[in-house]
Amino acid sequence: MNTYIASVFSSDDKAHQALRRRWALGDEGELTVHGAAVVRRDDMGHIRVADRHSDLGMRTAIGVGVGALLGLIAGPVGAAVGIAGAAAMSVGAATGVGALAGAAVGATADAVKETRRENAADEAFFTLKHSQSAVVAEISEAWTSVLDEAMKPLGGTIYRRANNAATNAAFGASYYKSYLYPYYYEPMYG
Amino acid sequence: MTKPQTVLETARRDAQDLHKKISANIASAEHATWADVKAVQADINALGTKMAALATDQAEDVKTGIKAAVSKLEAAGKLVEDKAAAGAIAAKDGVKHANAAMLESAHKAAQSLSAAVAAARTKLAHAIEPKKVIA
Repeated sequence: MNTYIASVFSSDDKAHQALRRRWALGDEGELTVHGAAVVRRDDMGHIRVADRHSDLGMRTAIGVGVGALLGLIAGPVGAAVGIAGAAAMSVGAATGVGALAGAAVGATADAVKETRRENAADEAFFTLKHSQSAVVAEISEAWTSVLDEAMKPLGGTIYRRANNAATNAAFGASYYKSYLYPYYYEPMYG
Repeated sequence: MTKPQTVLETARRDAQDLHKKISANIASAEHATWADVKAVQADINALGTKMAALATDQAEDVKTGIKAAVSKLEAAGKLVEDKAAAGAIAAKDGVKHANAAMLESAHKAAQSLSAAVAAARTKLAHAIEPKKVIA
């Protein structure tokens, strides 16, 4: 099952350990990590990605993207949107006849997606408290117990959301993927 | 003990390494040279060839993803050629643009191979899971 997963921790160190453990499980073949990133909410309240290379402005920009994914996975707005959004998109796809009508539906869908992403980004601020860090990832797992057991010693809270047509119809199929590193990296804070 | 790597896992590792290499080149923006770009382009072309061969044995949805990634890799490789032909070698913008295109293609390659690895693992998990006994 392909899943978006977020784990929220009280410290940067635990988030780093969780990221490392996740990729190690991938190397062992216990699950497959497609991409992952660590985000942190700093003392100023900004959600920033803990990135190796990006400058501070870029870290904030990417942090908003990953934050939206976090909000999507963990927040109540995200949970509601997954179901309602899928229904709305299905209707849009079915009625999309003719180039003009299709374009109009597409433009509306884009605007709706943008709003939902913004809502999801807002949700992240309720999920991630000041000075907390989260690992956000897209993984494939046969059994959820593998990751749950591995994360137990680190504490924290785990959120899951299926990466399926409903989720992607509401938010855009590849919107989040570009924000997630396709391999393990050393998070950098500050 | 090191776990044996499948061909898919090895190709995925190549794509990840390529992504790292291009990210490092982008990070050193001011010092990145056309020689760095050309070196990566060779790796991009090699990965594209390897992935095209791997695609044939995959399930349809995985194959579609890999083929899309191969197209991206080929397009990135061609972009480098075109920029070289157009004399953009000395221009910093040429290096930047080429690196961005190659990074995107390497990302796509890593994702599609990751999906292929996951599909192979799922297939294996289903094959070895305990079966229900029907009375």
